[in-house]
Amino acid sequence: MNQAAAWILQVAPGLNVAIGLRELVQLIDGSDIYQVPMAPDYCSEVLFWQKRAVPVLDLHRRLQCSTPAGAKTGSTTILALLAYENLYTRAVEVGAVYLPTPPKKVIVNDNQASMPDAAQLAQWGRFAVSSFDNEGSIVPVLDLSRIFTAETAATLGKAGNMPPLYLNRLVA
Amino acid sequence: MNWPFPSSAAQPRSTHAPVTGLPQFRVVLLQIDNLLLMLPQNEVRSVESRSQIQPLHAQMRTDTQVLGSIPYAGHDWPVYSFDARFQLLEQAPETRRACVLLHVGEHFFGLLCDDARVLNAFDGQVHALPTAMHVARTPVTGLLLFENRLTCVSNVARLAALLPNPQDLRSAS
Repeated sequence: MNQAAAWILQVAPGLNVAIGLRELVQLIDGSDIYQVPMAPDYCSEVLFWQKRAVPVLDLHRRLQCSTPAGAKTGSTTILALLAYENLYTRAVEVGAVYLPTPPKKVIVNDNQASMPDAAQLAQWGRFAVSSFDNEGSIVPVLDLSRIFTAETAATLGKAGNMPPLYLNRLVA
Repeated sequence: MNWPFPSSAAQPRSTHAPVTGLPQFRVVLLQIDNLLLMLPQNEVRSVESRSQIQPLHAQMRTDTQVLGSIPYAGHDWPVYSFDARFQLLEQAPETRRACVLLHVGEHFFGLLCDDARVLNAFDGQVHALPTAMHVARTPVTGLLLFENRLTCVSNVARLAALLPNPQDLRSAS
């Protein structure tokens, strides 16, 4: 049986998402963040880190959550720096997301694989590569490349076209 | 050599080895409210005082976003003002004390700003606008920290694309 480690990130009360262990680069505080004009509402801020311009993404808005946000943009103190591959340039880049609480490390087994229901699929299906059951809740495994570099829903395809479930993104 | 202003043919200036090891460029830094906007110097024809702005000609009166005209090379060119979010204004704030004359192709337009600084040997590190921050009409092509403030890099072609009608870029005489 395969198992892998992952980070659980809280997006909003009742909505957690997962990323691969190595996709979390660092946790930093939320100081020195700058507003960029004429940027998407879910990614209108930037910070500078190790000679990079790092986009700061509001996951709650990106996933178009209807529930209240778990992180209050601009006043939260935790930012997670995440590594992802740019869909267009294939370069490995770094982005940041607000977190209301520190990420939680979990071990995920194959037998936890679970398909989302229709509502969940509609909400985050286009941004997930798989999902699993974690303590009774379905947790999507995010495709950070799509989160950060797929500009419109049209480029992601229709919600519901999720690839077959696999856990190889959660590499130990 | 990477040029941070993709549409410009401006040549970097490197008469002396820069301290930072980065290429040096001639730029103009505009302040518009709390927005710092950096343009290639060769796209800025002149920097004028707001007092040089003239009343609208009849041909320009149909567009409420043209705030006046500025004379150059025997013609009068439309003048605009943005806010810090690149939204065109129908009335320029009192803080707009300067007007930069920008050229795109054979046409010109004036852009009001609070202040304009000419930098002849800029060698800061410019970062490309992250993909996640792109929208179709954004005039921002790059970002940098200048004097500890976020500065947006752009070019005149991108700014001109925000204007309501291309035919506005015509002289009134």
